[in-house]
Amino acid sequence: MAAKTSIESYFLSESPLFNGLQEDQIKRLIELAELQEFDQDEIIVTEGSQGDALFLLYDGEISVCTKNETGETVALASLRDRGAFFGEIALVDPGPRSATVRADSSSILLKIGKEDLEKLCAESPDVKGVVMQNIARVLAQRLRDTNVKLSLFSTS
Amino acid sequence: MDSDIEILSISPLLIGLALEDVRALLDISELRTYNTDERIVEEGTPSDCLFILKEGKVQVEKGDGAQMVALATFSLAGDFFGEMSLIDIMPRSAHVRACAPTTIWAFPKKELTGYFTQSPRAQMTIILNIARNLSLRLRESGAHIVELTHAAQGK
Repeated sequence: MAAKTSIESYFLSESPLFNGLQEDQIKRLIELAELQEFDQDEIIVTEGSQGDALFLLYDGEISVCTKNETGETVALASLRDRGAFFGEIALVDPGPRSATVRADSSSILLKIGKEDLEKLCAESPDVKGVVMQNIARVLAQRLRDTNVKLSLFSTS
Repeated sequence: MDSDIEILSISPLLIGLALEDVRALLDISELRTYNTDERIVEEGTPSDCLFILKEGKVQVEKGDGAQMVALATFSLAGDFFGEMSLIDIMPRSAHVRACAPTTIWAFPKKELTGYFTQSPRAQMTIILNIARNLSLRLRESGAHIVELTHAAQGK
């Protein structure tokens, strides 16, 4: 079982989500977070379930998919880079997960829950502003990318 | 004046702001009017202000001519757009066009960030509102993409 002590600070400090946090705040965040291991084909989050945590990929490969209205599975993305993340919306706006995420190989993920972040914010009040701005930036870029995709569906 | 404050204080962009912050933001805003079909925002241009709708109707669209795709419309007083100017420095990601005679408040980014140095609490509230709104729009447009993908596959 991988130990949290093996997670380097730069894993989080280089993430667009936590860019701008101090070294000690990053270390504290790693302390508060939970390391989780998944076997191949294991489900990490299920579409429709309540989500209140974000996940960062430390090792392995994961895929994101959703079901369309006829119940067919639609693949949305495949992630394999260390530091790739998903579920950050849960830190801003907890609600039902918009997709299912599954491990395509045995994988290790760092799970950061809303309450973990809140604990850190209580100890270090300036964290919230930095993280919220970063999350907004990430979401803005994702919305831009989505709008580009939507514009590719131009009707003639 | 009072009805302006009313509209602004229930705008999803400004929800949760103290009244004094709403008043201060109204003071730094510019009122702009547009005729039907007039362009308010041009895709690709620098993103230097955000907007709240006072009255009228606007359409957010992307592309050119026959390739133009409608992304969203806003017609409720208090609806906002152009907020990404506060989040990053990318150019405008879409056009915005008035679909009816329209009046909007424009908040120049420079004045806003100046105000935020006096009221960090206002900044936090607005950023959170933007993040929540982006989450909502992502959920909706993600679903839209799945539908369109499905339709494009001819099923």
